[in-house]
Amino acid sequence: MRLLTHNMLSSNIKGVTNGFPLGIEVEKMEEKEVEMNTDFLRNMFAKVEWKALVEAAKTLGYTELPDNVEPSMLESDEFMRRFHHALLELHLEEGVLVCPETGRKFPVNKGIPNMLLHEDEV
Amino acid sequence: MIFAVRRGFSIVKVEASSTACYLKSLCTMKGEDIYDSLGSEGFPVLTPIVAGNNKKSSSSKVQVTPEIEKKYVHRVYDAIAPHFSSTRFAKWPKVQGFLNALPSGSLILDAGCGNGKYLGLNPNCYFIGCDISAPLINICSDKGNEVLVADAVNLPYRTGYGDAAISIAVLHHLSSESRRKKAVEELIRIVKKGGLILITVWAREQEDNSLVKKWTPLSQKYVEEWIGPGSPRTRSPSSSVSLESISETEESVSAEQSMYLPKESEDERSTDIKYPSCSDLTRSPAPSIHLESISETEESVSGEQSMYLPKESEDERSTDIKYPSCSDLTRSPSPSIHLESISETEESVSGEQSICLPKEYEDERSVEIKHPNSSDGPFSSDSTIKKSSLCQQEYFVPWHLPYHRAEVSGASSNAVSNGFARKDDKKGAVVYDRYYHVFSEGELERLASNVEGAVVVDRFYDKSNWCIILEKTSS
Repeated sequence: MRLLTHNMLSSNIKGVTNGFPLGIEVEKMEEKEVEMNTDFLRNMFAKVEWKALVEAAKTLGYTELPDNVEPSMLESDEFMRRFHHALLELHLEEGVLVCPETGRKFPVNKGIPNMLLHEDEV
Repeated sequence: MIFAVRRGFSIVKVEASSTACYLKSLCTMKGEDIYDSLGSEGFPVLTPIVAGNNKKSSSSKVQVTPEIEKKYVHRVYDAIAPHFSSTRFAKWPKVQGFLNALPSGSLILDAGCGNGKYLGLNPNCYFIGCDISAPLINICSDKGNEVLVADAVNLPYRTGYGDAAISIAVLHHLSSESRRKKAVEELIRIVKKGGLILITVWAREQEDNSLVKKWTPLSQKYVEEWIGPGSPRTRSPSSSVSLESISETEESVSAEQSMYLPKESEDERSTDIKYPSCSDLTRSPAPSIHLESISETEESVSGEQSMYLPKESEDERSTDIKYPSCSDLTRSPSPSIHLESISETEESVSGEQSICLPKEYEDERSVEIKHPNSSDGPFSSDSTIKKSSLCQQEYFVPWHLPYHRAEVSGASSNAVSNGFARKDDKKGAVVYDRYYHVFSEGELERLASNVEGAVVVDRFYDKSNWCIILEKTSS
């Protein structure tokens, strides 16, 4: 699971008012290089919840993201490289995503989160 | 070949070429507790499978998965995943066109991505896929895609995050209108304002009608239980089907069987064909499905749909086939339907299509059927069902999993012993049934139009699928 995905995921358990962001418990993480697409990064910059991205990156061991951002940073190659790295190249392979309100754990195995709810959670 | 039905019914004599599947038994609908008792004729009285203990689908939560989907969608796809995936490689041009037209750098969400056929199709965009089947998602992941296991009726995504979404051949596996509507609501919710959504579903109005014969229609009684009030079908009972099921007997089964087998295999039939008789079904706790399907298998898929049409039916096809009791297709703004080629459709690769038969079949088939089973509704022993309208929308569509494939997972031997799947030794395959609600013309658009926050910007019919493009208007 990439942090791009984590930034979009929200706990949809019945009764939860704000299921974002999910907590991350890491058992195994990996770094996998992938080609940069600046159109995509610019597009995502406008969507991403930055604080959640920074925190998630730290949980996966990456601390190079600035705490605060502004659009002018998109002109910086260095910033773009770090943004790309955090968003697309850090993978949670094994671990758990945690609902911020209920504490319910969603497993992540082989990089795949399982977000299916039980019948009583729907 | 004459089809004769056992006593207790009107004797129906119909030309084999036109009768098709409409007299299929509903013994297929077996589930736990499904048989109350044997009726007076010795036929089992069937009760429907319902989600939990709720009789009314309207009172159960729309996001709780109904039993029929657990048994005849989820479990089946889990069992057939690798085989299914191997047959799913042709990219449907309409979907490809939609994806390629999206702006570079878009985030595209595929809800119900199956084996991930469309993930990454536009190299300038980023895709995130989800499906309820973990085995299928594993296959997607192995190809390097970003995917998760999730339910299309309750997506774990923040609102408005995606730039576009696609739902390709997904909604027809949802067994109630409210669930289908919820899935559309979710697709709209997850994209940004101005975001586009492409939805495709199997059409009731099929380009190749000879393939209907392989499908098992569900009975009206089940439809009422599962779908509940408000469904387009229950609102207009006169136009909707009811195909009903004559409980299967050895006699009727073998007679029906003769209609479906291609000429060359008729000789192969022997008198010891094993069809679970109704009494067998009462012993078995799990569903079993009768009516062996035709010799084509889903393996021979891959764009070879033409092989499924016997020569004679090719000649019958014309460019002005009328679909009876379906609304007038010429009113539709979508392209006219003609059968110029039998190209592969998104899902019909195994030849699994066709529901409304062309007019010529309908005329030959006005029969009356009396049913001995059940004590209410249209199937009471005193009632008759006129089969003049043949537009059934609820079906079981078989999937043939070759034995060598079935052994790999091991799940299939359990499935067969539990009666959940059946073996077809002649084809060397384990046969699973998948539940489909096929959409009638205009139904998808009506469904989407009833959901707030988006407008329909395009609708079309392509390769036996109804398709629609929505644009989100709310923020």
